[in-house]
Amino acid sequence: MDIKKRPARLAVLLLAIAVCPASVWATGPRIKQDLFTPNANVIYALDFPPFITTELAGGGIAIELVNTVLQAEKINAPINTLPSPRMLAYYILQEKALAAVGGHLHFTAEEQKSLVFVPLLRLQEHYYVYRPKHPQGLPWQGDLKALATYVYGANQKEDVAAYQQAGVKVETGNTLTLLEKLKAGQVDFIGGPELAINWYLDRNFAADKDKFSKLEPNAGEGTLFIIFNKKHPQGETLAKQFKKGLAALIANGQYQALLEKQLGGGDAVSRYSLPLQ
Amino acid sequence: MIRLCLLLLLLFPGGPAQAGTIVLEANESPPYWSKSLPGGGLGSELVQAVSEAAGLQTRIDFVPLSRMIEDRGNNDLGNPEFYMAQQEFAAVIPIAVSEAAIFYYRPRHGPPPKINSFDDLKQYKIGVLKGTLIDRRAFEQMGLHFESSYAQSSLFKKLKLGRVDLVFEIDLVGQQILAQLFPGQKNDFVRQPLPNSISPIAIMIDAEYPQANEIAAQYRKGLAAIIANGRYRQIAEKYYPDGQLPPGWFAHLQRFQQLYAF
Repeated sequence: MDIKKRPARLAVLLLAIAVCPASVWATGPRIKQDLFTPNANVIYALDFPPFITTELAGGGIAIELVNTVLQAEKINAPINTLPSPRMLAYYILQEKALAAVGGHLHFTAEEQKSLVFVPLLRLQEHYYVYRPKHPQGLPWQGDLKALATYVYGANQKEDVAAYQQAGVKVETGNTLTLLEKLKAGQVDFIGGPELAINWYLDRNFAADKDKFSKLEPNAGEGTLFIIFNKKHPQGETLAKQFKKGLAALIANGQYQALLEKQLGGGDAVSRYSLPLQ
Repeated sequence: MIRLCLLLLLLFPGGPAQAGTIVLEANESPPYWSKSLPGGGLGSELVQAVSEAAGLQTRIDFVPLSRMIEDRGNNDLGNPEFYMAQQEFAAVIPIAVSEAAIFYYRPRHGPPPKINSFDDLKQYKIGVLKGTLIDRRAFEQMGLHFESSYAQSSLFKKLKLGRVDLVFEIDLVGQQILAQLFPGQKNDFVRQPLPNSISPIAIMIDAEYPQANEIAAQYRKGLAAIIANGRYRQIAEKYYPDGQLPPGWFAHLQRFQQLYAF
C-alpha cells in the first residue's frame, strides 16, 4: 500500500489502532469446573484432540465416555484437561491424584505397581510420511526393522522401546511439532490415529494436507486409558466401581452408540477403532 | 522510506534485539504487564529483578494475545496453560501467581450473594472475558448463563449498568480496572476471591531458543536469589499493599515450580 498516495487508508488504519483498546487482548481467568471446591477426586486428562479436547462440546469422545460412567455410578470427579504428559505424571505421582485419562502415558514398571489401567478406547494407528520427502513412501510391511535407517517422531512419554530395539532413531515432540518436523524432513515418519492426525492437518496444514500420506498396513493400535491411582485413598475402590460401570455401558449398547454418534456411524467405528472386549 | 519504516516496525515492534538480550513477549494486561505502568507492572518488575540477579539482559515486547498464542517460536510471559497446547517449551518458570475473583455491584443488588459453588450462580447472568470459559457446554448444562465481552473494561461497565450481575476476573486486574473506571467508588464493588483459582504466571522459553536450558537455569537461580534477599517480596507488596498478598503465595509458587520442573 502506498501510504503517501492513500491518506484515507492510513487514517482508517490509525483510527482502528486508536479505538481498539489494549485490554481487548488481555488475559482473563481460566474458568474451569473445579474453580470453587478443591475436589479431592480431580481426574487429569491429556489433551489429545479429537478424543480429549476442550475445543469440542463434551470434551471429546474419551471424556464423554468417562463422564457417562461417572454419572451412572454417581462418582463426583471433575476432569481437568492439561496440555503436557509431564503435568499428568506430576499430579499422579507427586500429588497422588485420583486418576489420569490419556494415551502414550509411559510409566516405569515400579510406578505401574501403584496404578490401575482401565482401557477406554482402542484406536487403529497408522504411520504417516510427507510425500515430497518420500515420494515412494517407506518400506513398511509390518516390521520395524525395515525402517532402521529412518527417524521416527514420537510423542512425549511414548514408549519407544520397540523402535530402539529395531534400530530406528527417535525424536520426540507433540503432534503438531512432529508434523512440522515431518514436513521439514527432520523426521521421516510419525504415527497416530487417523482422526488425530487429520485434526491437526485440517487446522494447521490445510494447504498441503494431501502431501501427508498414510502408510498401509496399519501401525498397530493405541489405547486410551483411565488410570486410577492406588495411592489415592479411594483409588482402588473407584477403579472397581468404574470398571463395573464401563462394563454395564458396553453391555447395554450405550458404549457403541456413543462411539457411533461421535465418530460418524458404524462404518467409522470399525475404521477408526477396535472392539474393547 | 515510510514503507520501510512500517515494515521494520512490524518485524521488530520493540526494535531489533541486541546481542545477548533475551526477548520475552507479554500482552498488555495491567497491573501484571503494561507499557504504561512504571516498571512495566508486577510481572515485568519481577522479570527484570530476576534477570538482573541472574546477570542476564531481558527485554519485554508487548504484542496482542492472539499473536502470542499463534507465534510458535517466541518466548512467552503469562499463564502457561494458554500457550502449551500449541507450543513446546524448553522451560516454564513460574515467577508469580494470580487469583480470580467474583465481582458484584452492591448498589444495584443489595447484600452480596453467598457463592460457594456453581449452583449458587444459576440465578445470575455472569460476565466473562471472551475465550476464558473452558468447557462452555458443561457450564450451560449446569444451567449457568454467561455473557462474553472482548474487553475487561466493558465487563465492569456492564456490571454497573446491571447488564450482568457478576463478573469473573483476575482479582488484581479487576481492582485495577475499577480504580481506573470508577475512581472513588471502590466500596460499591464487592470482591470475592476464589482460593481454588490460583494460576501460575511464568516465563516460557521456546524449545528451539538458543541455550534455552542454560538461560532457564539462570532465571531459576535469579528467582531464588530475589526471594531469599527480600527483593521479591518488596516488589510484590507494591502491588499488594497493607498485607494483602494472598495467603500461601510462596507455597503456591513452589508447587507450580515443581509442576513445571521439566
